[in-house]
Amino acid sequence: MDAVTVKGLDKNMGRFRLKDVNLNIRKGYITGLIGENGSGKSTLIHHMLALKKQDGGRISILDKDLEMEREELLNRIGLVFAEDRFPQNISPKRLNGLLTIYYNNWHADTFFAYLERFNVDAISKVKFLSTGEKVKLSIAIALSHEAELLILDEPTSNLDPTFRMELLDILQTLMIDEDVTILFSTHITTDLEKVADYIVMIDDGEVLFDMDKDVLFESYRKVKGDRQIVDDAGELLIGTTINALGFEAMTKEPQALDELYGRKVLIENLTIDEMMYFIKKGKRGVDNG
Amino acid sequence: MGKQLYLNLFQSKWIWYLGISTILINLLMALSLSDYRGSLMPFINVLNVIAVVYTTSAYLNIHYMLKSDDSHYFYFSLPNTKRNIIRGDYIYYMVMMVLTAAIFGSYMAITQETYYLYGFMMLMGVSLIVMSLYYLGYGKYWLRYLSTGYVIYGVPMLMTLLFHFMPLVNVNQLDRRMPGMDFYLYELPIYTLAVGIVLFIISYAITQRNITKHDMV
Repeated sequence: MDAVTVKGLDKNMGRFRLKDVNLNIRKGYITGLIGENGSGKSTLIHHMLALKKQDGGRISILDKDLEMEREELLNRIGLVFAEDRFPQNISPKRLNGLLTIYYNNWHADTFFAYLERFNVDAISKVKFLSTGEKVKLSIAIALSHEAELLILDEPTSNLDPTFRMELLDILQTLMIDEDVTILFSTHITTDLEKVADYIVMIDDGEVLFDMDKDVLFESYRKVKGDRQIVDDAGELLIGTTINALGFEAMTKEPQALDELYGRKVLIENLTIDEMMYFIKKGKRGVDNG
Repeated sequence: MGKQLYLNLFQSKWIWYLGISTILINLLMALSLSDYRGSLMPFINVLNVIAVVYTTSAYLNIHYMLKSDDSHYFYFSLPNTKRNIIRGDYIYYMVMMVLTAAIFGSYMAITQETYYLYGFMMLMGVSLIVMSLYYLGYGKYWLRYLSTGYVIYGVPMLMTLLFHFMPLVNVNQLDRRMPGMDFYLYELPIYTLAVGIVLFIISYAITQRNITKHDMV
């Protein structure tokens, strides 16, 4: 069952375009959304919140039409924005009063407990909080109204390593204790390697893949070897980079390469960063360094 | 609807304080001895103009506050339907009209002159027209052209003040009968108010229909 279904989403924004985006965020799992700056991650998330209106296609969240059931759905979505989007002249304590009106299941006690746990001053105006504290405030809000779907847009970018680890622990605890779905957009892909079940890569407004993380790592491998092999096995290689030492690429056919070239090639596991790098290279063609 | 109305009232507390303070000062002045009024009237006049400017442009000030620091992303992501946002905004505008009427009423309690009613009707009519035009654009562009909204509000309202309200006051204070001006001074406000009310209703219907078709941010 899917928490979010995006079918044929099209959006023309002048120089940038989301092109026929199809995506399923599985219910009860953590899905990592990766891609370069400007690849369309935040734009896609804005569509999921009905902040932007698609030119074509359909978005369904928690089996409901986003536009028709917007109020109910936003009650069930916990959100952390990539940038500081808070009103600056309001304290978390006063914000609590406002959020009590907006959210059907707002828990002030949970909110203040999270603020205390995250060491965020509830009395200070938002403008006096540090960038990290604002992110923590955003996370506290997202976790205080019984959200079934958490949409986290770059939540860890401005966080110190200790709190990043704590957040990942909180998310994993949520997954165990409650029936929560998480869409986690981030640049820090090591976070996803730890917690994500599925990985979606978006590039230049297109979804390049949407796969189970384990299957992804089993399917793709990094391969290194002599540059002569590139001419011969070019079709098996993705995002080939050639330098003085030889070549480096990603492959979906590690076994075939191993059988064909044996010790002439070195096959290794990939990280998500490397995968993004090779896929981008693959789109541009062979790079002769 | 209630959520947006609450948010708007929450955001414009100081406009409420200004409006209510003005009403209280006006009523105190109305109850005070007329000997004291003369020297204080210039201050009272300016205070009333400022209060009315803020109450009639409150919807723009709310949008300005929503947009500052890009906090509209946050506010627009709170649970509410787009139609309820518009409904809340229109009801808020009507509430502010009531506050404006109360300011005018308390001012007229000082002056004891009924001709101010025509000035009030003209200002309300123009305010309704410019608000309706602004919201026709808002339904498509949301907060993207907020500064245009200020121009759409500011120019007609200033012209109404200078070319209708002031001549109305001058003609009556000088106690001159100007038959050629009767239509302009005493009938046009009624027509303008009627047009404003009709436009207000039409713009509400159009905006409600269009509001889900465009980007909010």
